[in-house]
Amino acid sequence: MAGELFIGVGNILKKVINHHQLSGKHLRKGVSKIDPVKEFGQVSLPEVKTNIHCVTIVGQIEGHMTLPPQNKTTKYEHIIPQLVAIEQHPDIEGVLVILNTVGGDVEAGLAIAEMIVNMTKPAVSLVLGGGHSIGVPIAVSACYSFIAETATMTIHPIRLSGLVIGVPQTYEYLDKMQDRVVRFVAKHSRISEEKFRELMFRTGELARDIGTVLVGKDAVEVGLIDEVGGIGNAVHKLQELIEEKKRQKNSPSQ
Amino acid sequence: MILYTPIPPELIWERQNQETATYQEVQYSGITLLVQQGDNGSGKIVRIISSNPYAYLIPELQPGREVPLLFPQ
Repeated sequence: MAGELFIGVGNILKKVINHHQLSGKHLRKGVSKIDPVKEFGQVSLPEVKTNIHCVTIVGQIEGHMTLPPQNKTTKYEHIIPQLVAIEQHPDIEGVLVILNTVGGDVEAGLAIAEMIVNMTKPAVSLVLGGGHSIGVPIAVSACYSFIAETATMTIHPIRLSGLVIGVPQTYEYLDKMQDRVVRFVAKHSRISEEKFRELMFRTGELARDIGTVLVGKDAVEVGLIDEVGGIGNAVHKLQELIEEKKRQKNSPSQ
Repeated sequence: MILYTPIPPELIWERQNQETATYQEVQYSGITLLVQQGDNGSGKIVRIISSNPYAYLIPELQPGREVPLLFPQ
């Protein structure tokens, strides 16, 4: 009895193994894409095409220096080539920039923002969670910007971290850095330079610092962000901008 | 370099002198992956670096999956 049962189990096992060998053949033909990863380190991209690409900017924006590993960072050398590829690729018609960042390197942040501003393809930004400090110029750099109802944006002055030489030049340099950010934001959103500076130096709102925290619709009311919304609104707006762009291309006389 | 962030610098630079970075960037079919190096030549996917939203839907490239770091000759 026990022997028969064992044989029975053995047959089932054989069948299972045969089945696996069969599907193994299929794998090599490319029906499933799981095994090729293990064997050759190759996968094929799904056939689905998308006309919009998405750039996510999370954690600290990392520029000239590599930050210690406890920081989650978005590296400038990853984002810039992605934007170049998006600008060049004929199948990509627009880009969605999703921000949940605590800020970071001023120059890297401004570089990303300048790249987005100068792209010929429409860009829509969406601030989710947080778009603080240097995240602000990136958020306003898109053609149209959204902020989630619960998302926040912190606006505060730039100051030196690390070694500070107490000479007037140091403060002038910082001032110039700050001017770059303020001017960029004023140029690419509805907020004025004066208003942005006022928010930057406001006292009594931040526990550790001077400055302002804007929550969702506050950012829209001061003119920094265009609209309160989520991913649905952002994708819809991007498709609209793409259509508009196509219409302009088709009727160049207007 | 100037950091413009509400995060205090002491938190950012806390573990500056500790060497813990075992991450490696590898390419699979043109997609850049951040991979944590493991034993026996394999690595665990930590992050996908791509602007193509569909790159994040490939089941083989989901974070947490093991991928070989040394390819057969």
